[in-house]
Amino acid sequence: MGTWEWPLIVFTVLSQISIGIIVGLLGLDCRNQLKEKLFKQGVVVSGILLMIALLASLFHLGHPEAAYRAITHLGSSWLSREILFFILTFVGWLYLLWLSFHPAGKLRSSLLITSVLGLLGIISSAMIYVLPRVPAWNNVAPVFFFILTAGLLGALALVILGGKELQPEQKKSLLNWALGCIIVSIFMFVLYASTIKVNAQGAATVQFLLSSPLFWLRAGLGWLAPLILLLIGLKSQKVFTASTLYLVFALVGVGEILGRALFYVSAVGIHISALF
Amino acid sequence: MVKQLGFILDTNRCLGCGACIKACQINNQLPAPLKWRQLRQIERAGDSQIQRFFLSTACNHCANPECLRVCPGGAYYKRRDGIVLHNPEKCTGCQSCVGSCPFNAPQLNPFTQKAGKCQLCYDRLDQGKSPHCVQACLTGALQLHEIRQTENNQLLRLTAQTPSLRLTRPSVFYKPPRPTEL
Repeated sequence: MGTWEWPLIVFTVLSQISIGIIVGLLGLDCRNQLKEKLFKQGVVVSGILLMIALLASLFHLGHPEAAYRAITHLGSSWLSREILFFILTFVGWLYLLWLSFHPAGKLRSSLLITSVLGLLGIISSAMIYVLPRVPAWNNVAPVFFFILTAGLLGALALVILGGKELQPEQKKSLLNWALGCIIVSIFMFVLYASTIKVNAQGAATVQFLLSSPLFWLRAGLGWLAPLILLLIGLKSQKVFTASTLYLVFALVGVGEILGRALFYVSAVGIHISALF
Repeated sequence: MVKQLGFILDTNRCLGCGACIKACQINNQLPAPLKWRQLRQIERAGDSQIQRFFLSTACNHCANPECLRVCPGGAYYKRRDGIVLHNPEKCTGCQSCVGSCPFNAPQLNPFTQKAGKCQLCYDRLDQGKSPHCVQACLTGALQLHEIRQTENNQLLRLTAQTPSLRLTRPSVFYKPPRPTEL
């Protein structure tokens, strides 16, 4: 079994929310011109989250002061590529921050470039775990899980940040997007659990997850409760109250943090100890 | 020509005394419980035969090392004689190698917070000497060979049935244990 990798849990979840917000801002801007206040709020919150995430990632290293060396093996190391893309995303974010105070530049193309860099960073993060030694990770699932976290929490964060700045149809499309992400997450987990069971290590991971109370807490808080709240709210056509939105975000946030913790804890590696 | 040095362990000769492990630990000044070489007792019983033997394992100095592929700091490199070396100066302690090696060869030193593994006593080899573990072996069960020039049709690899893990191509071979009639 793996270990509780808190620096990595904080880094991956916060950086994914941050990039989810940027991608969400791009999506909103493509439909309607973004309001200046919403853009500024989104960029500032995204940047704060990204900075906390990058700081947290340093605590995973035995020697944080030597972190700069981790970018020197881009040829084959996904960790090096991840760091490069996150640094570039941060540079893109700096430009977005400048734009939020001097709204004269090309906003949409800057959002697009920062989003692409951020998504490449998330994909690189996920690819670090695609290892032959860990069958539960050695597939496309980590990439999907990481991108879904960004889409889900990014959209919900934007709904809360937007408040009255968002038009009802913008709010509804973001909530629909979040609902879609939850449904895809559940579907992906079922697919993931059924496909990794083919070998002993994958079966041990699934058994660990299904017998862990934390997993059922994650499923209840992070998937089921928000799914019901969003379905009821979107069906009744009523405007979500701020407290309901905060509740949905908190439930999904706790669910995703637990899910990420279980991702690390449930990993069972192959230990080769036989002669063939 | 590029060489590939590797260990060959005759499991019929290995007594499981652990002299190789102690020699490695002492000469590389590894703080307990850190070990770059491990010893495992394997027992396989059939209907009429039993195999009981010891496996002394360390870094396999793979032809395609996973540690070298995943290390973000470029702390690993492979010499022309096939030895996979880890340079602690470049190590950031990210533990990518620890998590990716299917043989559990790299380990985190809790005192230095850096990874470490068997370096095949390359400094001794450069002086024409044997590695500490080979020198300490009482029965000559553990030997160092140039793998590509060794007849290895009678030898076994420590490996897995997973094709993707076979791709690391470990450079350590074992002479198979003789079964004992029950």
